[in-house]
Amino acid sequence: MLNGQGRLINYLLALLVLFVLFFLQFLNLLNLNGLRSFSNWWKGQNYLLLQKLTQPIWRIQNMWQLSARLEDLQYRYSEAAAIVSQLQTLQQENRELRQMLENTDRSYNQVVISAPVISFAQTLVAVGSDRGIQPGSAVLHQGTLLGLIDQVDDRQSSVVLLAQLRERALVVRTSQGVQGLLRGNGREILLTEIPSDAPLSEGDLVFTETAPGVKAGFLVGRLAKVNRDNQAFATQTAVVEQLVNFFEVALVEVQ
Amino acid sequence: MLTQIIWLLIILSFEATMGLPLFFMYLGDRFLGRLSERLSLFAVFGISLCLAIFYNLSWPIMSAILLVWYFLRTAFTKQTPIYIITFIILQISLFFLASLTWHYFYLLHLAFFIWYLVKFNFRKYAS
Repeated sequence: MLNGQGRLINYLLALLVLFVLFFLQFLNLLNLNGLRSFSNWWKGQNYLLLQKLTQPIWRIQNMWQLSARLEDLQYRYSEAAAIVSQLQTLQQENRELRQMLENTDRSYNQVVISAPVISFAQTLVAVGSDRGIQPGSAVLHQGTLLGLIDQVDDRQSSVVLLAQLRERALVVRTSQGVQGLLRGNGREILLTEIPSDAPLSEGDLVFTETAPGVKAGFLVGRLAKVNRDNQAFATQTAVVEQLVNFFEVALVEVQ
Repeated sequence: MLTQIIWLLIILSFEATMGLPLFFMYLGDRFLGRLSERLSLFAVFGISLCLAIFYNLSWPIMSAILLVWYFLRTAFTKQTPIYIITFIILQISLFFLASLTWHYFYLLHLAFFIWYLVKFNFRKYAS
């Protein structure tokens, strides 16, 4: 058992070590990137293992919801067939917009393909400033916007998913041409600031409009629920459901 | 001791995949209790390094937080409610510092942790 003086010396030593650590960080000499890359690989293996372990539960749950899912798929199929021509127009428009944007000072050429760093808790992608990633870049999967790059480290970047997008809003447009602001409340993606008389219906697709770091025409999702509870409000809000889950995709694009 | 450290690292890697380091901190704390006072004080830096790596945090900041927690833990070692409160505050600060997001695994993980606590700790007091 240490006496009071010995304990005091220990705490002073610990404070000294702490000071040295802060000083090393200040000088950028505390480089943990190699260890972090290893930990990300390890977490990825754990994720795969946990997925395998939980797969039977998901299968049972999926079987339970099979008929509902089938109906939903049929609905989505007919919906998809109806909007193919519209998407082609959008694609053309997108191409033209891309050409316009590429003629400005900003460069939108760079597309980096990356695997998400798999973790149930943190949303990261395994590319960072070493690949030229910049904060605010769009994270996509097959044309669907999943989130925006937040903090960029040397070899990884954190992603703000659209449901977590509280400090920034994106201008979006529905397939019926209604413009609004896209925000997150932590759990859901919300389409806000829509005039109460604007035509919104469940199933409408939502696309991005041009914004810093985000091009127009990216699919965000479809309207799952329109809140028209209070007619006194000048605006209405809708909940947007994403068709792709960040945690389930194997690869994402960062643009 | 080496086996225990490897075991703790495996637990941390799983917990970093799922959510908060509940078991890692709890078992790490018990591990610290088995070390001499000087060694345990410096093992705190090792624990904070592991947390900094797996949760992408700053090592010095984690060390500062864990040292404060360690000081409170040693100062109020016999007062269980204060220990629990400091443990919860530590976990909440980790949640916000690491920008963690909610996931269904949290509930499962938390439920398992509470079950573990009840089974291996409180029953001793009851008997």
